[in-house]
Amino acid sequence: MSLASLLSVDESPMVENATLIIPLLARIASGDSSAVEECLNVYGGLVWSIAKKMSGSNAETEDAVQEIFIELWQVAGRFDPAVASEATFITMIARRRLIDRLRKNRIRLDRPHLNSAELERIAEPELNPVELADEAAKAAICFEKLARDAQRVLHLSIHQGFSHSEIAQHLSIPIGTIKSYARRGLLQLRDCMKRGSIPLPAGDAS
Amino acid sequence: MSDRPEEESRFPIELLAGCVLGDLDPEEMEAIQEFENLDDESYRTQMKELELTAAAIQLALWKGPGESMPESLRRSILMNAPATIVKRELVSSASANEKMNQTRDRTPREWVAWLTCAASLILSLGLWLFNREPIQVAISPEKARDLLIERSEDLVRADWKEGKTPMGTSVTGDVVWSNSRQTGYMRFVGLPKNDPSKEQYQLWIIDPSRDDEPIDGGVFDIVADGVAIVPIDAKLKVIKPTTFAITVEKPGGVVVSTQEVLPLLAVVP
Repeated sequence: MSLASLLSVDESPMVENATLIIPLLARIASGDSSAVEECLNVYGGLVWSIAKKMSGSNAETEDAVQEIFIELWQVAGRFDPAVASEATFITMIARRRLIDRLRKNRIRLDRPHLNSAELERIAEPELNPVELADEAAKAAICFEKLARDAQRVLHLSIHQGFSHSEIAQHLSIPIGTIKSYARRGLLQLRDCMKRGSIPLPAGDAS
Repeated sequence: MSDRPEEESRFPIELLAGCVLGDLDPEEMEAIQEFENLDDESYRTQMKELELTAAAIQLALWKGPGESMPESLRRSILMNAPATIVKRELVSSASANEKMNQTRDRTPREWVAWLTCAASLILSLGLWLFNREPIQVAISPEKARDLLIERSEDLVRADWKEGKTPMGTSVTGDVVWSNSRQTGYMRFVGLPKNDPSKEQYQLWIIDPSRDDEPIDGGVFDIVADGVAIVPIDAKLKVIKPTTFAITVEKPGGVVVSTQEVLPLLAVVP
């Protein structure tokens, strides 16, 4: 592989970390202002799409994205490529800020009512670990090992941005059960990513 | 990620997962707040692991950006970035100065650790400089302010005047703001230095088009006599600013100011 190809940024943000040598966040932390625009080019779409699903309106989304990037420039120096990929770190900052905004502003997301067929369609996770890099690929593999109910709830919660009360309402399942699926599912995912397997508790398999 | 399951029993781990997923009810929020107040390293580790797990699965499920970010937002983020980076550098240098003043009480053991750390840093910096091409450094606030004035068609400018609790010394200067770029700078001549460990200056932007509550424009320090240029760090989108006000607040600033000490005001003409 040539040096030029090693330094090039792949057009697909999902796999760019495989080829990027100097992390953009490290460059930003060192004061390289040109990395700011690159970072926005590579991750702007990711942050925008996450924010859209977890914000109440376009104005809310724009405010949230501004806040996320301001925080990102401030914490860029804390990024450690040994712990997570840049995309994962940025997604973590974005999620943290968005959940904080939801909590503080008590935003109620305005969503159309979904019928069961529509819900079934969007609740169906689509994963292709081969196209993913780093821990996202590991997460995808572990996700497929989860019980079906936990998969559906985590998909609606994390990917679609539904609150757990919305999921409970749509799936006609008590909210306590939804919370349980989501929380235990997340813990199982973490354990799987650390150890490579998911211990299935009794009665949780489906 | 650490692998110390024995530590998990110290925390209600499902509560941490709920926090990361944003599904805590008020009672659970109170419980988690107690753990946060403990400032426990293993709590932070657990939390970060779960946050990274949620982020990783979010990425795994992501299908790529269906819709691009609006161009105006992108421009605004780009315009604000140098200000944020420059401000962080100013704050860092102020903190460094403060830390240098706190060295008298170090024990010999602390001195050895400190010197070892400093030596490592110098070595790392030397290796880094030796191995790297020169990088572009973020422009200074002075230069950024000049560029904003030169390039912004919608620039508003207002001179500082005495507020309800004047400083007692003559303070002049102005504030410039571009709405389309959501960027601005304050220029002060003669604003007294503050002791960041006791109090900090905080900017408020009054924007009746947006809200009755003033927008937090960021906290800042004056570290030297003479002229100071300070980037504005508006926490919310500004729609039509009418007045900029400086208050003196406790370190870190406040969410809502009582405006007890309000030395400067700049009313947009």
